[in-house]
This record gives sequence, structure tokens and C-alpha cells, in this order.
Amino acid sequence: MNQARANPLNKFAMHGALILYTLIALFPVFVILINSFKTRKAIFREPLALPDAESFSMIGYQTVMKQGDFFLYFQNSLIVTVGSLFFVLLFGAMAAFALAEYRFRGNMVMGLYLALGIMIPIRIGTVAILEMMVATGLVNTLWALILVYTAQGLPLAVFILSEFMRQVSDDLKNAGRIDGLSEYTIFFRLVLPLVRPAMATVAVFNMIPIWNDLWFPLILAPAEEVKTLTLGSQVFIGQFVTDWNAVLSALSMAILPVLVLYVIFSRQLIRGITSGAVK
Amino acid sequence: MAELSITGLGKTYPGGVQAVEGVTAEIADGEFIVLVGPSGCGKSTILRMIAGLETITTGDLLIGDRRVNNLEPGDRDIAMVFQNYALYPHMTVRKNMEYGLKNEGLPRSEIDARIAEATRTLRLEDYLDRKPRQLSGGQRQRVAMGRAIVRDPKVFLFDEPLSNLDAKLRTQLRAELKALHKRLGATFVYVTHDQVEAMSLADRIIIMNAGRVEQIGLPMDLYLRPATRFVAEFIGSPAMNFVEGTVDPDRRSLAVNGSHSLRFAEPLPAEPGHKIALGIRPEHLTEVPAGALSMELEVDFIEQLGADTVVHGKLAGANSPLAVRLHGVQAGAAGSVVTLGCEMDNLHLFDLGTGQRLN
Repeated sequence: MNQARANPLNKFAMHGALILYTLIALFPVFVILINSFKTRKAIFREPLALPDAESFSMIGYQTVMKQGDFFLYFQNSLIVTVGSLFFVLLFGAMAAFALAEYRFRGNMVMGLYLALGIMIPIRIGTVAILEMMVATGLVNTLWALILVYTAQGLPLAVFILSEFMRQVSDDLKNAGRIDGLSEYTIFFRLVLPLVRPAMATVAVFNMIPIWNDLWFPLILAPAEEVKTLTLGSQVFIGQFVTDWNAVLSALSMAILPVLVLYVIFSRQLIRGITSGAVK
Repeated sequence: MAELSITGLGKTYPGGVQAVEGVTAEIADGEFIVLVGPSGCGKSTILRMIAGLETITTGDLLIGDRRVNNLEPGDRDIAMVFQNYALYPHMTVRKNMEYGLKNEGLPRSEIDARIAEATRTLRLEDYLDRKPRQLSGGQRQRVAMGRAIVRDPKVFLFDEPLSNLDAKLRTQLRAELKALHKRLGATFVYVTHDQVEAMSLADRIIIMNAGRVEQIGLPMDLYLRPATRFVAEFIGSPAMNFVEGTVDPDRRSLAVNGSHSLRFAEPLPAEPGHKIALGIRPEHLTEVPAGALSMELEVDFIEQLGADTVVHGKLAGANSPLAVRLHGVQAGAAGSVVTLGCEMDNLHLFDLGTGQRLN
């Protein structure tokens, strides 16, 4: 490991590969960003050119701000994403703790049952979910989305977190029991802080698909007041004419919150990965 | 009062494995009891049952005059120190110690007083604001003890607390533990697989094998009059020598290996024809051939330890391995033959089948 790191050629190759990957990954984002600041003509004439004095335009952003209830969409997306993540992490961690900590009949079967959701896409059940939401009167509410995303995120969360929780030393939990802590206190105050990196991993894995999802908002909550950002942006994409300025501006702004959330979680993520290495 | 009364304690795991069987012991208030035995003998299971971390399958467990079989660990008025410290890694030393107390709802002033007292006792004042990972092994174990002390429990439980430390630190902490016990006057139950720790710390030792108690007694009783061959082998280092053989009709000699036999000055306290194991501690063999018996040792190799010399070899004419511990630095060569003697009082006779003591 040390030798590999010391070799300049290896180092060069490693960084080269990473930089190349970064460029490829960021290229679409870059194109969206630069074009969101250009006039419609400039977008089509030279899609890869940076905005200059002539082609610079805020028209896209102005359209977005004026048309449609953009801030409401923003807020809806944020509520749905944060709410779903909260429940995924809470219930996922609780289920994982139960599976990892307690020996009970059917523990194994329960674990497999919960892991099954990783292999079966939730969208297969869309019709049934819609029927359920209609029956419970949750259609066109944010709760419909939060509940579905929570269900969607739980299998992977339970799977990852139970693996991490098994690694938390039994003696530590027993020390807590002898200190007179309740099982809830042990869970929330001892175990959760120790599996924080795993929680961050689960949060990152779940956050982006939820934020970007178009399917369930379209089916379960298409009403104006509960539209999410991705669905709201669709108003600019018409069958015959698409307002590219507005679409690109909306997408540019949609990156921001998820970027902030990612930065918050990724610090935990990195801390978790490195803490194991240098222990 | 904090006497601990264990009656017929047993533990059977769901799979049918019987880890502990019919353990009965009365532990007096303020006594330092050491549970010792090889790994897998059930000593830790007993400790965990006392702590409430394992359910009790059979028997009764009383702390003071309260039956605690079904009480939660936190309600038993005990504290425990673990082998791997089990400190809360994300809390400072102070937080580690006060967390349980806070949870009990003790007033701030009381908590602070107890922590001040414990840190002074354990010399941890300078480390209160550090996290466990910034401490050395010895310091961590002291913090773990501190966390136990501040709870002011009736019974302290120790699960091999010194096993993860190096030899020098172990000796030092052993002395501190002994002093701590004296100062606190609480009941200590201590589990270890190390017989030196057991001998040096214990008021009384419970020695276990395969889930059962082999013997309960004072350290010197175990050393001088082991009740079974297992105890005799376990206590003492180098381990006791055993010569197996059949008692001759005149009871004055032991037929070892057919042709060879050992002659004794006095008749052996065993029936003629009885198959026995004769135990002699390495330190009780002397180079002076006087005494109850004389035997010859073919030297294989010699360990010079400075204060002592341990000579390893075989009983001449038989194949039984034999070790002798001699005082001071002694010369000797592999292949030479040494004549050894032993006093009658230092012979231990065990039934070859049951392992029970005969004399």
C-alpha cells in the first residue's frame, strides 16, 4: 500500500483515472449550468460555448420565477426528501437493531423478507399502491410520496444498517444495560452515534433517487399544490415547443439543495470510511 | 449487606448446550471471590448471570436478601468491568462515568462529588476531558473501573479485566485492584483464566471445569490440598507432575509402567491394586535424596529463570514427564541423571478414574 503510494507513476495513473471520471460525470451538469445562463438562440447555435456578453441572459431564471409556483415545488421536494429520509433512517435503524441485537424466532426469515425489497422494484406495485392511496384518501398529498419512498428505502437501509450494528460490540451494549439504560437509550445514545457513517451512506443512497423521481409524483400527487420539483419542471417541456431556458434554469437550481444535503452526509461518510482504516 | 448467595445455578442454551450446571456458592459481604478455570468452563457465563446479561435457567441468585433472578441488570445494584473496557467511544471520560448516574436522575452535585472521588482514587484527574481512544489500555481500564465505582454498587463484577494489558501493567493494576477492594469494602466477583491473578487477588477461589465447580476454597487450600486432579493441575506453575501407577500389595511401592516401581518410606494411603495418579509439585522435589521417596530424573532440558531453575526430564525407567524447580542458578546438562527426593506430606494421591483426592 505504502509502496504503491510512493510510486509516482502509479500515483499519476490513479489521479488521471479519477480526474477523467470526474470530467465525464460533471460534463452534463456543466452543460446544463452554462446553457441556463444563455439566450435561446445561443443554446442552439453553440451548446458548448460559455456565456459571453452577447449571449448572456437570465431569461430562463426569470421565466421559472414568474411562471409556475417554483418555490412551492422546491419546498414540496425538500419536504418529501427530508421526510422520507427521516423515516427510512429511523425505521430502518430500528428494524436493523432488532434484527442484529435480539434473538427471536423468525429473525432470519424476517431479515430475508426485508431484504427482498432490494431485488423487487417498488414500481411493479404502482397500481396497487395507487389503489391503496385512493382508498385511504392520500392521493395528492405529500404523505403519499413520503410513505412510498420510505417503503422503497427501507430494505436497503435495514440490510446495510443491520450489518453495521452487528459490529457494535456486545460488551458496550451490556455496559449500557448495567448502567441501567433502557433499550431505547442504548439504541439512540450508544448504537446510533456509532453507526453514523452507515446512516450517512444510507441517506446518500436514498436521497438522490427520491429527489429525482418523476414516476410517483406524476401518479400519486400530480395536483398543483403538491407538485415536486421534477414534476413542476415538466410544464416547460411541451409536446411541440420546449422552453429550454426555463428547463435548464430549473434543473440548475434543483441541483443546489441536494448538493447541500450531500455535503452534510458525505462528511460523515468519509469520516466513517477513514475511521475504520486508522483505528 | 451485599452477600451473594448462589444456589443450584444452571444455564442451558436453547440449542441444548449446558454451559453451567448446579453451581452453589455463598459469597460473604466484602469478599473478593475469583472464578477461575480454562476457557469454556462457564465462569464468564456465571458472571453474566449474576449481572443479568444471561437468563438463569435453573437455581436462585440472591444479592443481599433479594432474589434477583428476574431483575434487569440496572436494578441489581451491581457494576461490571469488561475485558475490552466497553467504554462509550463517543463520550469523554467524564461523560462515560456520569452517564449511568445521570440516567438514574441523581442530582448534579452528587454526581460531581462521586466523579471527583473516583478520579482521585484512580488518578484520572488529567484525563477527564479525553475520549477513550486517546487513552492507553491501562488508563481505559481504570476509566472502566471508575465507571463502576461511581455507581456505588453492592457487588462489583470483573470479566477478565486485565487480560488485554501487558504483563507489567497487569501486575501494577492487580495491586491497585487489591487496594481498591480494601478501600471500598464491597463484594468483588472476578473472572480470570490466569491462576496467578486468582492466587494473588482472591480471598477465596472458585475453580471451575466444564460447567461445574471443582473446588471452592482459600488460595492456599487449593494449592496445598487440591480436591481433584484437575485443581492440582490447574493451580501452580510449572504444573504439578503426575506419575500414574498401581499400588502394590504392601502399599509401599507404586508400580509404574510394569517393570519400574517407586518405593516409599511409609505406606501409601490407598488400597492395594488401586490405580492412582501420584502428584508432586515441581517445587517440592529436592536434590537431597532423603524423605519419603527417591526417584531418578533423566534431564531433557533446563530453563534458567534467574531466581529459579526448572529442570525438565523424564522419570528414569518410565516415560512420565517430570519437572523440578530448584532454587537459584543450577548447572546441569541434558542427558544427565539427577536423584530427587520428596517429603510424604507433599505427595498428592488421586484416583485415576474419578480424579478425586485420596489422601
